Amino acid sequence: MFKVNNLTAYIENKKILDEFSLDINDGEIHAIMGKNGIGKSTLCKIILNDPHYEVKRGSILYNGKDILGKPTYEIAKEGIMLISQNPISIEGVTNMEVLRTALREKSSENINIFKFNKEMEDACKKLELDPKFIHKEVNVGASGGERKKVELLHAAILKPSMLILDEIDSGLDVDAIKVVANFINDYHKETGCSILIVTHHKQLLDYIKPNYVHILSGGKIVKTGDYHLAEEIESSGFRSNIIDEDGKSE
Amino acid sequence: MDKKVVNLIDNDESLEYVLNDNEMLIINIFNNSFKSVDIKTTQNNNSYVVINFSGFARSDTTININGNVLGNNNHYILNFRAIALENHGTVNAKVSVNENTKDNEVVEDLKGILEDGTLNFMPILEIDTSEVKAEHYATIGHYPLEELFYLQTKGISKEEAIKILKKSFLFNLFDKEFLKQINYGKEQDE
Repeated sequence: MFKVNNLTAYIENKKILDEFSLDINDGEIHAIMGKNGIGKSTLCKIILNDPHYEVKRGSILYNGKDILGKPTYEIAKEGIMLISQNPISIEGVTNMEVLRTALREKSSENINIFKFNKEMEDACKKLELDPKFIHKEVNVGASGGERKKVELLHAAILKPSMLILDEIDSGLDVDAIKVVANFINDYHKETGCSILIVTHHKQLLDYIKPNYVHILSGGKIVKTGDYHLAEEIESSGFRSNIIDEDGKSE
Repeated sequence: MDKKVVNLIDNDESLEYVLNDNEMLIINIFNNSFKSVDIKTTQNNNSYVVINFSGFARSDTTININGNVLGNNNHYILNFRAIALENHGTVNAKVSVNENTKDNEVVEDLKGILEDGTLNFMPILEIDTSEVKAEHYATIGHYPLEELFYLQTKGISKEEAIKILKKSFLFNLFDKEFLKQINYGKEQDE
């Protein structure tokens, strides 16, 4: 279980999250929606302990362990993977090198190269991604859509038990959204992982059906509903009577 | 074009080359510990020089890299990468392009990462003609926080992430053949 309690966080003295709380049971899919700049991406990064943010209060528990403030790699080793909105590129470092190093750190057992290669190839096929990406430098020269697919390729190999998808639909065309969504749905079905989706658009949620949809405003969740809440937002916008001017739910 | 490739590991000798018409020279140098050396190239016409130089600064050293472009239609590219582990490293990189020359292109690209040492880069362009394309860059900083964070989100410890970034920073300049000779990656794995 993933549990955030009363998290209050700042960036450069500006309060971004204010007593934010969220519970995700194992295997559940939650979506967070909200206006631009409201703190959705911040939340994702704080979970992974991005050093740019300062947490003043609260706790984050994953499977009973307090992970708030732990080194990022330890949080990742607990099984949480963040796929950020704009995955960065790293010159001179290949996807193969990243994954082999990550696997080596995860387990003291030798990597079964045959199994590793097979999993990579299978994931590339599912993602409709050229297998050459395995040996390419991380996201160098890759389009927005390719970057998202490369990150999911990493997920297929590293097998996180919780996926945090920060606007994974941004930069994807209609066909690519379907491919990515199918991959995520299959991964969810196979592993029973939990998923936290941050998105602006209902379209992604048409393909990946969340158990809950939350509206983030004023640094906290102001409304929770099912998939229909996303439909409401899509048709009426955040300025509708779903939330008032102060970010409180009606 | 006659191509000459010079691959040097842990070089501690000064080098000097003169290039004539249609000659190409590629110098690849990796030093596990920088030594104070001078590298000098002189280009006449229609020649090509690439110097890829990387390594660790572990003691007080001064490296002087001088390119002299005397004629027309030459290319001079210097790529320098240093990680300052301790003490102080100075790199004086100067390219001179003579007056009354044309169609030359010179680039100096110096990048440094500081650990427990310091670096001083002096990329100097002495250009006596207006018919030239000349660029120089010098950046000194630390391991990029974004890249460190990204690698750690994959479950890679900070120590291993730095190893990965170190390797890419120093060796991205070189071709596979030279990388095999350096064997740095294997040493790291062991």
